[in-house]
Amino acid sequence: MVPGRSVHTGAVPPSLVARGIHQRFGDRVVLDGVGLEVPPGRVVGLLGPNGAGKTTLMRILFGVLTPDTGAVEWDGRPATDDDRRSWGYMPQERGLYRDMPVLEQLVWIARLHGLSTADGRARATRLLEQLGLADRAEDKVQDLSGGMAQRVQLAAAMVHEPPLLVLDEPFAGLDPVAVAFLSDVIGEHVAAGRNLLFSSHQLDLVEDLCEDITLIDRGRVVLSGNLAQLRAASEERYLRVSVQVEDDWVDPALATVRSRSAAGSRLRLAPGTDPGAVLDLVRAHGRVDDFGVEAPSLSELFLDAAGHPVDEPNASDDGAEVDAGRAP
Amino acid sequence: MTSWWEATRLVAARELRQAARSKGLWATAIVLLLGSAAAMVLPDLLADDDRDRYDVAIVAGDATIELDALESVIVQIVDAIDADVELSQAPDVDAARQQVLDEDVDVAVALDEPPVILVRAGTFDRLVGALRQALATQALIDGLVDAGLSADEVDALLSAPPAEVEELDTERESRQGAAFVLSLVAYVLIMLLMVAVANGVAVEKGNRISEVLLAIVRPGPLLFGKVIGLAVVGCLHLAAGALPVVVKVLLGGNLPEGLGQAVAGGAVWFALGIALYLLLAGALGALVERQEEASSVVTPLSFVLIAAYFAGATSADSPVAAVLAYVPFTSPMVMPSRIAVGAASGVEMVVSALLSVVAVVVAARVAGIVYRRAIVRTGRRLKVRDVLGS
Repeated sequence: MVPGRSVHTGAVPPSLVARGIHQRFGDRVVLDGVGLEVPPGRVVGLLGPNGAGKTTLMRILFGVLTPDTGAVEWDGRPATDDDRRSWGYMPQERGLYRDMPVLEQLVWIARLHGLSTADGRARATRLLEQLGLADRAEDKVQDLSGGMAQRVQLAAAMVHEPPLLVLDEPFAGLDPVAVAFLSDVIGEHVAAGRNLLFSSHQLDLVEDLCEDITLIDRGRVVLSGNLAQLRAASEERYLRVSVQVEDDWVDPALATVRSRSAAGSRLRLAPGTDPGAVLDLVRAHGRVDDFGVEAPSLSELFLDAAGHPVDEPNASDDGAEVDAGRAP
Repeated sequence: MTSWWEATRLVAARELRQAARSKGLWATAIVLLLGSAAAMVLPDLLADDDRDRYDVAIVAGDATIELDALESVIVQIVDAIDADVELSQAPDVDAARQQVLDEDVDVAVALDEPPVILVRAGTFDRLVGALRQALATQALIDGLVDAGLSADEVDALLSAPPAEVEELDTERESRQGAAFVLSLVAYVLIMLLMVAVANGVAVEKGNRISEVLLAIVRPGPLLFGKVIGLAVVGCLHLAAGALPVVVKVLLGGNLPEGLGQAVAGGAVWFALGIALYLLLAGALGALVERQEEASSVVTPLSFVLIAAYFAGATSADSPVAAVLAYVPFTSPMVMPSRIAVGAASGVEMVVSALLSVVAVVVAARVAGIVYRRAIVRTGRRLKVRDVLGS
């Protein structure tokens, strides 16, 4: 084993594959035959409501938990402890030593990954510059704002330049600027041909970021694949109009109102319906300044696949409590 | 990917570095250093002032006794009991009695026939004994002179060599003192470190740092590194306390009997005891995730430790201690004390040490399992039984 590196045998960059993962905590089935693929160079989203089993799956990928059955493969063979420890992991709940200076903490983590102090310091310094934290390198983590601490957490996951980066709910609680910032970092990571998996329950927020998705609900995969292809392949079409549409404006046989917001309404078109005819019905009741015919959004794909909205309350919180977990 | 040992070393080094940053560590070390230095230096400084000093009033009255000669005998005999005496004259017995009652003098001697010694009840026994002897000696001298002996002949008779005193079992008291000190030091140190380890593990679990670290290193280095790091911190404290003792020995000073052997021999059990208790404290700390729960989770271990401490400190050579010397949880405190009082046999030491080593190995395995299973199960306080059964 070369320190700090996962040995990769093939000419093609390695993929992470999980197959048939079952995990039960006591009487509760948390994962029921879940599979997942994370090819290199693509942003893969593991998406679903709270309690779907996302965090448990990520802990299993990292060997923090051992599944009842199922396998995790890296580069076409079962993932080893050494493989796993070459990856980078940012857990949902942030974990840093609060009373340790930022740079020192990152160098220490780099050293745990097998880097020399000099290499660790160089990489950590570069990351802090990239993340806009160069001037806070000597501050203790407890003296940083929540957003800054989150960036340090990301740096901790990336300081050893991992081939695979796994981020559990990285966007939770971030402001739009921070979301854009994190999206850039994710984009750079995959642009270098490396692997990336992140989880989120905020489907609308990550809609534009995901290339591949695995939608998971109550421990089962309900939809997975390339997002653009999944949307194109869907027979569902939606008419977006910039006006608040009342239920009785349009014949339900032609279209139904799916959602309303300050920006307008979104109508689900019945199969074979002419969008122009529905638009005419809406225009008869009010002025339409903007409209469009669109493929389903991520939330709508989830609703169609799972049979309930993603924000509908689910069984229990995911991952926050592991009742009978087992480490390897 | 770093090796097991390198990861353990890095975790331990981090603990040390963080400890070195805390003001509490330095304050404790300085207090220990100064306290120990004072304990080494003060007895020697105060030793010269050890002699008692007495005030004695003499009422000459109309006695025939020769006053100058008597005073000289009193000074000599009081000197023999390591004390000095200041003699004064009182005009009569009533005045002398009042001086004693007013504590102007300690004792008064009225030279009647026979002489009377005035003293407040229950005080100055040694001085009274010395004065009685002085009066008897002076009476003897006067009698011998009256019988016709010359002054030189009297001197020759009285300067016969005094009886030598052979003290038996002199080391016992100091050895027991050494046993007490050792047990106390081991008890305090292990107790403090145990809470520190459980605390550290619980806080890391609560802050979810352990989840980040478990994705990088195996559970073993996280637990063992913390135990080693904090144990080294404890030993540095111990070294701060021991430094003045070492300096005193190097400068040729004397140590209490038994302390040297007990420290040298006891170091083995000390290290084994720290390993045993801290490993278990680390595993117990993983069951909780709040600082306030960490000290309560080690309470059962604390009780065992307290019992072992009392056994070691109070009755190191008792039959109960002889049994406890073989029990790994109690031997760290009982064994050094038994060595100090000279109650431990060679066989006992070897068997006890071997049993402790086995216990540490078993504890490391069990603690590793409990830690690794419990550290990722957050939310509520766990029980050891649940963790081992899962």
